[in-house]
Amino acid sequence: MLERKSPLSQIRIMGKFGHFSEEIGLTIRESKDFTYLEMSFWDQAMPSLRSKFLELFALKDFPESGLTITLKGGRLIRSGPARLAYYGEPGPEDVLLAMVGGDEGSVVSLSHSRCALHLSGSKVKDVLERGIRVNLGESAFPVGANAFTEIHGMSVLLIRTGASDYELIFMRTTARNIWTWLTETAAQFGYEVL
Amino acid sequence: MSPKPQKFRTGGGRIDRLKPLRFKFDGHELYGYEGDTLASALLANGQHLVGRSFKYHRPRGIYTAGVDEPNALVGLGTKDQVTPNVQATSQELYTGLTAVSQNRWPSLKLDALSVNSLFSRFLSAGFYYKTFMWPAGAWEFYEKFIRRAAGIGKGTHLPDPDSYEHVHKHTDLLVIGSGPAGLTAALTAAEAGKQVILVEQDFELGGSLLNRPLTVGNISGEDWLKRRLSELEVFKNVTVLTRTTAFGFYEQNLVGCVEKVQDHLSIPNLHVPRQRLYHIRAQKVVLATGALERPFLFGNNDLPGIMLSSAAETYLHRFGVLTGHRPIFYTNQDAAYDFAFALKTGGTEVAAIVDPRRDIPSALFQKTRALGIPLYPGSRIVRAEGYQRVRKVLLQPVKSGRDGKGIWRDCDSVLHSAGWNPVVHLQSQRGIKPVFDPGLNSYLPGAGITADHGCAGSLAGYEETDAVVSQARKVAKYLIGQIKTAPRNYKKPVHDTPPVVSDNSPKSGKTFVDLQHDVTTADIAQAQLEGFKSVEHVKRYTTQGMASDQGKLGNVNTLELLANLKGEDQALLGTTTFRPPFTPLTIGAIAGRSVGAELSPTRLSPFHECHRRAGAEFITAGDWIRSWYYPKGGEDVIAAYIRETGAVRKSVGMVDVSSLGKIDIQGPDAAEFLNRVYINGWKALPIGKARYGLMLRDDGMVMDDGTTWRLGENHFFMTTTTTGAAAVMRHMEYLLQVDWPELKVNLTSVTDEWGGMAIAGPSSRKVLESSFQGIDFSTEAVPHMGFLEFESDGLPVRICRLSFSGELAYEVYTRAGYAELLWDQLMEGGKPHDMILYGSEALGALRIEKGHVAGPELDGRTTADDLGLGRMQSSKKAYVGNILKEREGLIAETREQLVGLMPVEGAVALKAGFILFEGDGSEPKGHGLGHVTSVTFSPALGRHIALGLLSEGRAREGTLIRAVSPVDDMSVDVKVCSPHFYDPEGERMHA
Repeated sequence: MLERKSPLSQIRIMGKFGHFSEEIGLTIRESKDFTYLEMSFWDQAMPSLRSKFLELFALKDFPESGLTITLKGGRLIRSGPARLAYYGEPGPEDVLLAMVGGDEGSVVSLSHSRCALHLSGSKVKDVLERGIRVNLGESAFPVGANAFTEIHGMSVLLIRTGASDYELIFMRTTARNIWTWLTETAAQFGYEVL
Repeated sequence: MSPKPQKFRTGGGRIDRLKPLRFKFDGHELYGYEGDTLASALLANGQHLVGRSFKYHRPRGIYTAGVDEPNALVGLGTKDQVTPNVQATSQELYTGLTAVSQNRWPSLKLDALSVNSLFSRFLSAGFYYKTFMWPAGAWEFYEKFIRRAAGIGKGTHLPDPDSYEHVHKHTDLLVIGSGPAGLTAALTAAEAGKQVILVEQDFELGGSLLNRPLTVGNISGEDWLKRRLSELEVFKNVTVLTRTTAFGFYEQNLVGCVEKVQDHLSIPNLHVPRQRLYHIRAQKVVLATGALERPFLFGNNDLPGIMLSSAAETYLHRFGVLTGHRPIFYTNQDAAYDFAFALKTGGTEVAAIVDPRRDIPSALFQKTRALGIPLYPGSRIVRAEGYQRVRKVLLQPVKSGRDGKGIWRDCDSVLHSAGWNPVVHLQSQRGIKPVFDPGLNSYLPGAGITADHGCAGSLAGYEETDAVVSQARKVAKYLIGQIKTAPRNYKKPVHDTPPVVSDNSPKSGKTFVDLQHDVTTADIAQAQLEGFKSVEHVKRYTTQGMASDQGKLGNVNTLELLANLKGEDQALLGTTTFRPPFTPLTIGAIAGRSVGAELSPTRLSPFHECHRRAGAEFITAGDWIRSWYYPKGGEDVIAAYIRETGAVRKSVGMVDVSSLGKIDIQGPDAAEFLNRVYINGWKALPIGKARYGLMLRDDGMVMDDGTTWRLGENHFFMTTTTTGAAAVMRHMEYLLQVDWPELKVNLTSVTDEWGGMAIAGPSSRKVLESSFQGIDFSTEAVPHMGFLEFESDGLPVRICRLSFSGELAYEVYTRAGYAELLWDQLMEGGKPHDMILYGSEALGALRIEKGHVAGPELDGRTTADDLGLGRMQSSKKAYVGNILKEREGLIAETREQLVGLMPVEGAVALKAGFILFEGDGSEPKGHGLGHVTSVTFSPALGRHIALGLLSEGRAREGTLIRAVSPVDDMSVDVKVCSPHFYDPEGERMHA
């Protein structure tokens, strides 16, 4: 198994940084060796694909647009009426490639093109709202919500995974800019890189 | 540290006398206390003279106690942390604060340019426009002197060492202002469970309650404030932002606010930004911005010691500072009397109260007399006198003529109040014009309440605190849907109000309507005489209201003055336009984190660290940071690229091509889609082969080019130019969504997914054979434009044989996370073949030698025919641009065509942009026949070469023309030739 190199590997230094006394405002943990797939479907294929997905992932409901369903080891992200993304542990790629026929849609692996950070802590929302314009309020962006948005002109996917937990997924070519923005912004609250 | 007693400091106030603060003004060490502003501390120390005026360099003192201050502007900080034009009235005091007065030389007390006052009759409105019009062309001479004399403060050219940031907030209700109205509105919404943000520009909440001894209901304002603040603390749904000014009110209830996070700290926290700019998107907004006191206009109204009555009251009540020991009050407001009485009963000698009204409420009249304060009803101040401080004023009856005699009264300060101007600025920014209210003799918001915002408190014309609180509660309730009847603005009964302008007689001395820009009532009158009738024209001609205070004090007086001069009803006169920002912003706050290397995003190749380790110099190409060249032994870029180019031609080199745009195209209609997008045919392209493609815009011009590989029956991999990638993706998404929705095609950008290196040169095949042993790279296995996909020890590899350099070449891709593994493998495989690394400079030289087009030629104005690619255009199908490319202008014989250019003297270098002219010896005129697009020194030819676009270019091959640069004053004889300088038959590429 080859090691996938993160674009942050040269700059991501473990430890506690910034301004803090007791409580660290933000904890940053990079997700590694994840799988990220983008799936687009033709409208008429959606009913049959819906059934296939429910069966494959043992789901009760198909996620609504803008929402995310947590799977065992991953997340199914509904980014649009006929668009889904899978983010999580490796595994389903081959199954999904086989499941989605060419007449139904397409599955593209973008695992190497993305960088992913798990962000948590009491100040995580304060940090995020310094770059993201989307309303991150409790009712507007509840646990499970996702947004394809941008930070400082760079595309990001933000998923709220808990009360104070988010996944931030972004393009690897802009990873250094995102990291600089994140750490400089978080320094005022104190942050820890795990 | 034990501070000296301060001459003007009294008891009381909200300052903390246990926390003295040391600061410097013009090099003098002074003391204040925590809770002071710089202005209150200066006044406490008896420093009334704080600056010089803009044009006439007249001595100026502190006029207000807030953001309306026109005079007390200071430079704050030292060296690289200088902030000019800071209002001393808004600057919180801290230990170590260093302030300097502005616009004076050599000192504040003795300013050489105060001589300007002697020539003031020549410096009236329009002086510059009229004086420097002649002789023609002399402006450049005058300009440097005028610019040197202009302006007030001086900034620094050093980089700003501070950091700034932007914050995006969403809320149910935003309340702007924390006086009685703002606090009431915020609490009302908070109690209803709404998310509330309360912003206050001051460092304390309370607004007018901090400044005057008010009562609310039957309790003191101070107690009422304490109760409301303790209630506010309970609500978790309320965010309070002090030191935060709402500077702009935009569509969709977007409000821009700036928070001065660390401007009050002696030792800033390095991890915390100096200022924050908030973008607050609110469902509803309550404007509770209050009102600013209006000054009277009289001669020499700018002398130090003359200030607004409410400012003097603020300094006394909030900061425990007496602004004078013998003040004269000049007012038409009952409330000012209360302050005069308080001063008198506190032991201050009140020299007089001058009131233009004849009918003064009897209670005030009686109390004034009882306290022994001289009262002058029906009178006005015509003129003040003094040197660097007011010493006396001339009083006249209001009804006397311009030459009416008066009496002089001695004083050391004049505290004046001509009424209140609601702060209508924010609502006006939304395009709602303020309306003149005769009762208030000022302007109210054009709409008291709308569907998304409401005006509360004194902004809406309410004066009594109880009425303010009651109205603000109703505004909040209406906006959050608790009541259905909208509260209205308060309309005061109309009284016979005497004018605020005392006199326009030259004998009265200068009467300043705009103190910061030294605009006088005479300037306004002159503008009228010269035909500037509209308020907007008067503003621009006189610059009234255009200083950093935006005319907060002077605008309303100017409008009254204009109405009087024109003999028009002020209600019909209109106002100038209020625009953001309400108070000045630092450029740093606007920029936020978009500075320096973070100005805009930059993209790094997955091989970036490899390049760095190999000693690459980098260059920006669009968003990308690319390896430019790899210097050896102190080489500069020229020496390096010549060496690198030569090595590629001789043996082999490797260059990073990861920045090329890459798009995954899938679907049963993918081939049909490409057939419509590109000018050439795609349906017959076999799986395993790639093809060069050219796409046009709708208008027939070339949009982009690249190769596209057929991975499967319904699966393609497209590459685009580096800079064209995003535009191509947008273009194709548009076509699928709008023009051809029936096509089943999905597009996914995979630019970041794949890292790629091009191996180019005669030995490139050998490098691949060494790198991926066991794979057949023969021409039979991998022909030109053929590709392979395989795994090498688990490494996924895509290889396509194609060439940008004109040499036998391959593009080798792998998944981005494995890019460094691929690099290592290729470098190892390249060792036996002396493979070198080459950068984008050599890449450019190689493609120019070969005559391949790139960005400079794909400039959006060239057709396929222009570029010599016309034969690619299929006549058997329709494609984007195929109709409009046949327009008369696009097929004209005189169109500029791609040609090669060789200077007759090979050592002479051309530059991109040189204009091409006939070579017949005629004088170059006009736009010429075309221009040089790309230049390089060709190591293969041992001379400088270029590509260019030349009218009827192909027909001119073999002729001599001239390349001219008026900028460089150069004219070079060049020979027109084929753009394919090197290996025109392509033998090397197909080897």
